[in-house]
Amino acid sequence: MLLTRFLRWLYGYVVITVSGPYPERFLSVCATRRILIWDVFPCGSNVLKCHVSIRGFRLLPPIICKTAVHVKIIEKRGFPLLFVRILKRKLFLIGLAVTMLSVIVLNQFIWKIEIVGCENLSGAHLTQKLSDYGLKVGAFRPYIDEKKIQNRMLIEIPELAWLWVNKSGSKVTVEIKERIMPPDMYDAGAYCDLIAAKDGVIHSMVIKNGVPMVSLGDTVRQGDLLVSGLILSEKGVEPRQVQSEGEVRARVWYEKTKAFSLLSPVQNETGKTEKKHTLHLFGKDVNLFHSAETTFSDYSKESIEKELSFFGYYLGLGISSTIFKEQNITYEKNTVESTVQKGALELSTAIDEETTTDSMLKESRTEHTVIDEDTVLVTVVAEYIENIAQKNKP
Amino acid sequence: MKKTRPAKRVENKKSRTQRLSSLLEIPLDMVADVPRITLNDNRELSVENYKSIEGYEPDEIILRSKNYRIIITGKSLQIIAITNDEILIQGTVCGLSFV
Repeated sequence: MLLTRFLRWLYGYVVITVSGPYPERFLSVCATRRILIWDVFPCGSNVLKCHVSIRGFRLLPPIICKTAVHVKIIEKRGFPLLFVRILKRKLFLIGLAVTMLSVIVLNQFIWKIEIVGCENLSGAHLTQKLSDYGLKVGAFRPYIDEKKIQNRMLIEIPELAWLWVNKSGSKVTVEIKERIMPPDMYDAGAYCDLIAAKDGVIHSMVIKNGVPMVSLGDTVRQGDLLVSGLILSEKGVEPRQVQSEGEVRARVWYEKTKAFSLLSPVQNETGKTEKKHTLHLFGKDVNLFHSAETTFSDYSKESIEKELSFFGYYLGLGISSTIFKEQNITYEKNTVESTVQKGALELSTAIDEETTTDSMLKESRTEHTVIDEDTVLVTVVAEYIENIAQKNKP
Repeated sequence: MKKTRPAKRVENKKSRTQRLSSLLEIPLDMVADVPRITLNDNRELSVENYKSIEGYEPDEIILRSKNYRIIITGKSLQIIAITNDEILIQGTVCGLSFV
């Protein structure tokens, strides 16, 4: 039924009233002549209101003559009549054409460049290089030669292992894969010593090359010579210069102290939100609000970006909405124990970041002193065993 | 007088097509040119094989079929669709009579 109604609308129909001595006869004649009539309803004596298709309406005049009725059009409905009405509005049509034309023309330019796969390389550097080869915002799309850009970029930037330029509408996606660079060449001939990188007490030593200058249990300070690359002979042979190599593990102590507040902020959403929209028009950002910032003092921010695309074809238009949620910050008092525990964890993590990767935690101690009713001072002392040898050219 | 005679024959005696359909066990409406009336609840009525509309008012519709008139009485009767051999009526049907 819905489909028939849609088809009727698509082909167009008119609502008419039929008045005369025998309007029923009009219906009968229409039926025999295969003119489609529906939703007939009598309104008043000898007056019928009915719907008839446009094609059927054109065939009505001889029937009207024959049955001696009077037909009056009440309403015209449907797509063809709507179409005719639109065709009459010249300015609207011109505007529509201009809009479509401008979208098609502006679509021939690049409005967005996305770089995927950047790890160590800086995006700005890549963008600069890409714009040198013609790939920049506002570039004419047919002039962009992906193959050439790909080849030039791979030659120019040695850190790149692979690069792919993907054009979809006004958006270009540049996918890159970074190369894992080979390690620096080991220069066997260079002469160097090993010095202590940190203060500590020597715990173990494995010397592969050079003369050890310290022994187990010695306390060394930062910068002290651990292994000398200069080998002196007692038998009168000329001194030899070698590249010292080895591992000197020492016990190293770290101490960190920090004051922690017992009060921790708790963020509650007040339920008030503000939305700010920004329109992206062919590479330009247009703020739809007077100011893009919120009036809230404490808030959390959330951004949603939407792109207008046509069958996966970016049209250069987009909208991004930022939702600001107002927050009300209250302070909650924690117990001393939980604060100390949290603080110790924070300090231990900070210490752990200072040590080298192959270090080993041997012992850790936490102390705390309560300063006033809101603050507690936490001290973490940790002992690590780690390699403190560092190459140093004299 | 001539006109009434065949009508009488139909009333009293089965017509040739009626006899044929009962002999071959074929539904009557398939062979004979008789109206087929379908009533869904008392809301929707469809009449196939009618000849013409003789009268139409919100509470009464008179249809002409081959041998008799069908008078449909009811409330706010509306003709939803009308073609050369079928008519669909909606509304509240109160009575059907054949004269």
